[in-house]
Amino acid sequence: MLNIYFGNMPDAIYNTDVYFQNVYEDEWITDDFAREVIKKIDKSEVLDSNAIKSPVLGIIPPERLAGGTKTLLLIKNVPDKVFNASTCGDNCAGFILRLARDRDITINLRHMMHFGNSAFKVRVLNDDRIVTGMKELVPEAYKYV
Amino acid sequence: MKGSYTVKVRNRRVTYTIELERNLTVICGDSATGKTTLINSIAFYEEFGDKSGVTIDSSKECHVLKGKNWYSDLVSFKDSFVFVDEGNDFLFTKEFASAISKTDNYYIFVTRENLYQLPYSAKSILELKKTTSRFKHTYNRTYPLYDHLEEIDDMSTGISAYLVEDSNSGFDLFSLIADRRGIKCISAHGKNRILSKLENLKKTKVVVVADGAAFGANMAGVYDYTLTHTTDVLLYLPESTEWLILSSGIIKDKEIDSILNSPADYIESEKYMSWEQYFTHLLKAKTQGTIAEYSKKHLNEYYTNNKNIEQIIKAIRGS
Repeated sequence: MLNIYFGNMPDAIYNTDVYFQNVYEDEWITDDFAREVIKKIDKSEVLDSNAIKSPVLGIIPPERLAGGTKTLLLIKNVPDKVFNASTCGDNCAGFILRLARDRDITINLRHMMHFGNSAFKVRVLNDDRIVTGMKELVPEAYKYV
Repeated sequence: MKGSYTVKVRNRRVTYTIELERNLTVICGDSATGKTTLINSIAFYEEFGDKSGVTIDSSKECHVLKGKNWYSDLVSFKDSFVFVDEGNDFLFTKEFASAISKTDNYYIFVTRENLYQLPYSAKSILELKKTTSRFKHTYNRTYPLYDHLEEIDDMSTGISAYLVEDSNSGFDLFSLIADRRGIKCISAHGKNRILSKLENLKKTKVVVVADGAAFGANMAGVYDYTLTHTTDVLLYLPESTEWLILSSGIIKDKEIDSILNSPADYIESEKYMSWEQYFTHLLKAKTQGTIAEYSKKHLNEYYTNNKNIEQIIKAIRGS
């Protein structure tokens, strides 16, 4: 299930870009999830753990992936930390929901992410309330962001 | 600084075109649209100039503000475009808001977060989009995020209430307009309370009236509310109540017409943090010592007579 803490969360890792650059491991880039995220978000192809073929930027290292992609890979691969997912655009929301299907995920959001029109289940940690779609999430989230 | 500007940042593979019209601009949007690459390119140019391989076409210097030394760096930037990427949490501090007030720079923030301490316009929230790719070169440009919203031209049919951000002159004015139409008018007592008031007005068709010139931080919340409660909430966001009065033509003055045609050419960022502040100053200055002397606290009776109210209503329709 997806747990979201809205607003300022001092323990969360705020600058996910810096954190990613210093902790990522080669296999994070080459697994099926990473390949799919990079294809969908960055419109790029993973050649190997150190080379990604971007249609805009040419052959790039993982450090130059989109900020949202890096945060998704952190959420997946570092489950004991909470990351600032406001570095993710709405085009990352589906991947966050998918990661939360298999296990409990906790993220920090400092803005309102759009999770789409379909029903979903999210626990808002600020007041421990479960919401089941955007109509319920919007008024809840904007108490804090 | 005043004026509208186009900044072009280019390297071998990408050209970014950024349109700036006000002192505070926010760039947000989906991941992988090139926001961080844009900032990095500007930082490379700032460090290495032409030898960076980056070309910047801009009539003002461009700087990237980041890290722990942001304050000392900021004081050295004059008459410049100052970019701040996401990941810099000083952006959300009162110290930062205070430090950039009364400076002559334009600021461009890359963030999805709402900057409640800064009075930026809903029109200054931009997103980067790819326009085209030619010969292995991609062209990205900024577009207003809320540009697709239609202007309201009918503030009465089917409307049950106006929810007005203001509790002073703006509220007085919209109360009068609402009263003529048999519509209820409610003050939110501040823009940060609009959402909670909307929750109390469920099942009522409401027009939210707020000063667009400083509504940027609240825009996402109200817009998201309209998305999830589609038929119930409409937005009317003039630059400010004072702008609306000036636009109505009640105050006859040639300079006002010129200013309203191109506000960016008149509004000095060092003096006015937002256009809202400027239009208040302008209306006060143009009416001082006259029968129409404007006060933000209570609406002068001059503006409440039949003819003038009708002119303001006409300006709402035409805005």
